[in-house]
Amino acid sequence: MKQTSEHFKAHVTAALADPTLKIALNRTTTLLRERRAQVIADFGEYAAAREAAQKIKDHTLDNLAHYLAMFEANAVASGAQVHWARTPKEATDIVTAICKAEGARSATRVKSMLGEEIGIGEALAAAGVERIETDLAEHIIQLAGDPPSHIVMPAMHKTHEQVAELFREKHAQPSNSDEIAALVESARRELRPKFLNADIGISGANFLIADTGSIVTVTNEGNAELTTTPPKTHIVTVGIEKIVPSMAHATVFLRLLSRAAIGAEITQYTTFYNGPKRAGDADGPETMHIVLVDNHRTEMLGQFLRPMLRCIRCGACMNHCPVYAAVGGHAYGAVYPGPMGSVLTPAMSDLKSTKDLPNACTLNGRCNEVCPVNIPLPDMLRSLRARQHQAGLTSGMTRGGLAVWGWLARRPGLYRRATGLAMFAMRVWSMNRGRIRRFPMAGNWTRHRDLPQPELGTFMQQYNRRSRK
Amino acid sequence: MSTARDAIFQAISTANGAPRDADTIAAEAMALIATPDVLRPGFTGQDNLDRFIEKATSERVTATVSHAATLAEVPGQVADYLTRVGLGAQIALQPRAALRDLDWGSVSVHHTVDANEPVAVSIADLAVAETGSVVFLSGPDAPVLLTFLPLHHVVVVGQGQIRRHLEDVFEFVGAGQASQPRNLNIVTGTSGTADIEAKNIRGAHGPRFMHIICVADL
Amino acid sequence: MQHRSTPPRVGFFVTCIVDAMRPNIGFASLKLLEAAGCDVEVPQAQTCCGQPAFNSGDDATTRDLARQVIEVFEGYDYVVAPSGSCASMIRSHYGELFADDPAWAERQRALSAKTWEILSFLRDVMDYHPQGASYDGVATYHDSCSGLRDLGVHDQPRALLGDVAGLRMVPLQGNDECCGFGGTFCVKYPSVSNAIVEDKAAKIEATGADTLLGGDMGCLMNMAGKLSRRGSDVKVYHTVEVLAGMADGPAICKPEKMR
Ligand code: SF4
Repeated sequence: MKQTSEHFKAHVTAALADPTLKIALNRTTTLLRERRAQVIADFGEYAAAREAAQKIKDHTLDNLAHYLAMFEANAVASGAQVHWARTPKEATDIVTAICKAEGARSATRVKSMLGEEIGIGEALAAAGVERIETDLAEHIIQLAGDPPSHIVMPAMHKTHEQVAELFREKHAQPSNSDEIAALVESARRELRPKFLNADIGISGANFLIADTGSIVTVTNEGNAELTTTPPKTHIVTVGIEKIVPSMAHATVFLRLLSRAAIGAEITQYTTFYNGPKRAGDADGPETMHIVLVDNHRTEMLGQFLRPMLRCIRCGACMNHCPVYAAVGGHAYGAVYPGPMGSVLTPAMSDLKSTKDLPNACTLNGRCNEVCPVNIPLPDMLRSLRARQHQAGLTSGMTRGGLAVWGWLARRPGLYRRATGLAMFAMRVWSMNRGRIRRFPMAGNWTRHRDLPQPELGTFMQQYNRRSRK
Repeated sequence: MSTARDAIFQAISTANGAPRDADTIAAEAMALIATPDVLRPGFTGQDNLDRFIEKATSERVTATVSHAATLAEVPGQVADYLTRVGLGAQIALQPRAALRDLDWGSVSVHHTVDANEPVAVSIADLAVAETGSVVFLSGPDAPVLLTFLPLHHVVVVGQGQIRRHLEDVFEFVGAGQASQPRNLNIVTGTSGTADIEAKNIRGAHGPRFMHIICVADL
Repeated sequence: MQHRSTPPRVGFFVTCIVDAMRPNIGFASLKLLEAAGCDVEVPQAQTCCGQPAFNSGDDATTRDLARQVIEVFEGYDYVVAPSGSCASMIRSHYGELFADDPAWAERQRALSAKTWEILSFLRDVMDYHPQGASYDGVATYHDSCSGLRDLGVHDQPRALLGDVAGLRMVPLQGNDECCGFGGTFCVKYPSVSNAIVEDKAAKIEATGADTLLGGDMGCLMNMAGKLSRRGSDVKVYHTVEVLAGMADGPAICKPEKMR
C-alpha cells in the first residue's frame, strides 16, 4: 500500500465524519478489551511471563547474529531454502522470481503484516500471479479494495452490515442473511475450492525457532495450514526479529500472544513447520522457501528504537488506544497503525512525512501497560518528538510559543505578573458566567468545550496577598 | 553467498558488537526459562485428564468428549456420533494401522480427504492438559489436511498421551532439527474467527465440530 | 501515622495550571498537608515543571526548567504537587534529561525520589485520615493516566474519600481510560481529543453521579469543559477540594453566583 501518513489530519477529519466507522470501532474495541482483561485476570502468572518474554526477546536481540545463523543452518538441514532481503524490493523480487520459476498462476496467502510491509500484493499483481487472500478479514478487504486497518483484524473498520453487502455483490453464492455466522459460511464456500488449486502458498511467521529451524504460525481459522499444505511450493516471508531460541522459549510467547490479541488462552491452530514434505509424507509442499527480511530492523537495533523489535504484533496497543479507537487504522496512512505503528512507520520511512504520528498521542501510557513485551511506546513516541524538534520539523507556531513560554517560565517574578494579567483578562472576558464559550487564542479548546472562569487572582497572587496580611 | 545476507550480518554486528561464545549464550537462554512453573498457568489439584476435559469442553474450545475403555470401542462410538449429528455412515479415516485394523462394521471408511469432507477420524499423537489441545505430527500415515478440511473432526486421544503443559509436548518431540516432523499441529477446538466485529464464530475454514474420544488404554 | 520528632518540611509545588486556573485546589492542598502534620512552604521561584516543552520534544527548554525546579525544591524533605502528571514529570521523567550530566543527575535523582502526588503522599507517606470532611452527593472517579500508571495512584484517593461523610461513590466505566486531554495534544488534534472526551462525558453521565472527582486539573478541566458544553449538571471538583471541605464554592466551569 502507498503510505499516506502525511495526510493524517485529513484522514482524521474523514474518519470522524463517518458514523459507520465509529460503530465498527466501538463494537470491536469494546469486546477485545473486555476479553483481554478477563483472560489476563485469570492468568496469575502473567506478570512473570511478561517479564520473561521481554527478557527472552532482549536476549535474542543481543545475540541476533548467532540465532539467525543457527536458524538458517537448521532450516536448510530440514530442506528449506533460506533467502535474505535488505529491502521490500529485494524481498518481493525473491518471491516473484520463485513464482516465475514455478510457472505459478495463483497463490493463496495467509495474512502476515510483513507481507503487507513489503507490498507483496502489488508485487504478485505485477508478476501476473492471482492472489487469493484466505484470512477472512483479508478476504473482506481484498474484495473491498481496502488496505488493512488493524494488524490482527485488518477489516476492523467494517460493520457486519457492510460485509454482508460486499459479499452479496462479490460472492458466487452469497447468503441471504446478514448474520455474522452466515457471512462466515459464505466465505468458507467461496474459498474452499481455491485452497486446493493454488500453485503457491504464501505465509508469514509468528516465530522462527533457532534450534530447530522451524517457522511457527498461529491462526484461529485454520487457513494457514490450508494455504501451506496443498500447493507444491510454500513461501514464507518474515522479519528477522521474529526469532526465539527454542520451542520452549516460544511457549512463553504463545501464551501471551493470543491472550493479548484476542483474549484467548491459545489460538485454535498453532503449527510448527520444518521444511517441505518429508519422504513418504501423505501431503505437504515439495519446496519451502524462507525469505528473511531486514527492512530497517538492523538500523533500529542500533538505536533508541531497539525495544520496538520485541514486538510480537498482537495489536493490544491499538485495541486500547483512545486515538486509534476514535479514528481507526486507516487514518495513520501506513501498514502499521496505532501506537506501535506510530513508532514503526517513522522508523521504516522518514520523520518528516510521518510527523503527525508521534504527536497524535496523549501519552496516556495504556499501550505500554497492555503490551505483552513491555515496549515503552509512549517514551519512544516522545523521543521521536525530540528528534523532530532537533531536525527542525516542529511548526514555527509551536516553536515560537514554546520559546516565549519557556523564556517567561524561567523568570518567576515576570511569570507571576504575566499569568496574573492573563487570568484577570480571562476572568473579565468570562463575564462571570463561570465558563467561557469562546476565547481568542484558545479556539482549538473552545471549539469543542468550555473553559472555566478563573478565580480573582492566581494562586501565587492570592497566597502572597494572604501571607502579607 | 548472498550480498544481502552479508550486509545484514554486518549491520547486526555494527549494532551489537562482537558475538559472544555459543556456550555462554546457551546458558543464558536456558536460565531465562529455568523455572517454567512460574511462567505458566498452574492447576495444582487437578489431574491431566480432568483439566484436559475441562478445557476441551470450555465455551471457547467447544469440543465434546466421550470415553472408551479401549480402541475397540471407537468404531461404535463413531457410529453413535454420526447418528447423533445426522451424518451418513462414511468417514475419512487417518491411514494408521491402529485405526485401519479396527472393525468398522457398518461404517464405510476411506483414506482420502475431499474438499467438502463431512467427517474425519484420527488419533492424536499427544494432548495438552493446560489448554485442552490435541497434537498431530505429520507423516506418511498422518496427512495434515485431515485435520483441516472436514466439517466434523473426531479425535481419538489416549489418556496416557495427555501431557501437562505445552513445554512437555516439545520435550516429547525432542529439541533439534532432526527429530521434527514437517508439521507439528497443535489444535485447540474448532476453527473460529472473530474477524467480523470481533464476534466469535465457529467453522471458519476448518472443522466446525470436534468430538474427542478419550481412550483409557490406547 | 508518621512518628517524627519534627514535622516534615514540604515544598508545595502548586503547578502552573492550578496556579492559573484553580487556586482553590492549591489552598485545599495546603490545608490538608498541614492537617496531616506537615510544615508546608510555597517557594516563590516556582513556575512550571517543563512538561509542555518535554512532550513537545524541546529537551533544551525542559532541561532549563528542570534545573530551576531542582534548585528551588531540593532543600525540602518532600515536594508535593496536586497533580499526578506534574509529580510524575519530576519523579519519572526528569532522569532522561540529565543522562549525560552526572552532577545534575545526582541532584535530579535526589529530588525525584522525594517528589509526590498529593493524594498518594497523604495516604502512603503521612497515613492521613480526613477528619470531619463531608460532602452531600454521589460521585464517580476518573483516574488520570500519569498518576495511575507512573505513580500507582488508584486506591489512595478512594480510601481517603471513604472517610468523607455523606459521600457515596459509584464506579465509572472506563475509569482508567484517557480523557483525551494529553496536554498540548488537545489543541494540536482538537477533533480527536473531542471525540475521546465526548465518549468520556457520556460515560460520566451514564453513572448517574452528580459529581466527578479526579486528581489532575488538566484532565478535570477537559472533562468539566465538555460536560459544561453538553449542558450537563455534573459538578467537577479536584479530590483535595472535597477532602478539605472546600468544595462549597463553584465547581469547575460553574458560575460563582451559584454559591
Ligand atoms: S507494541 Fe506491544 S502491544 Fe503493540 S502490537 Fe507490539 S507487542 Fe502488541
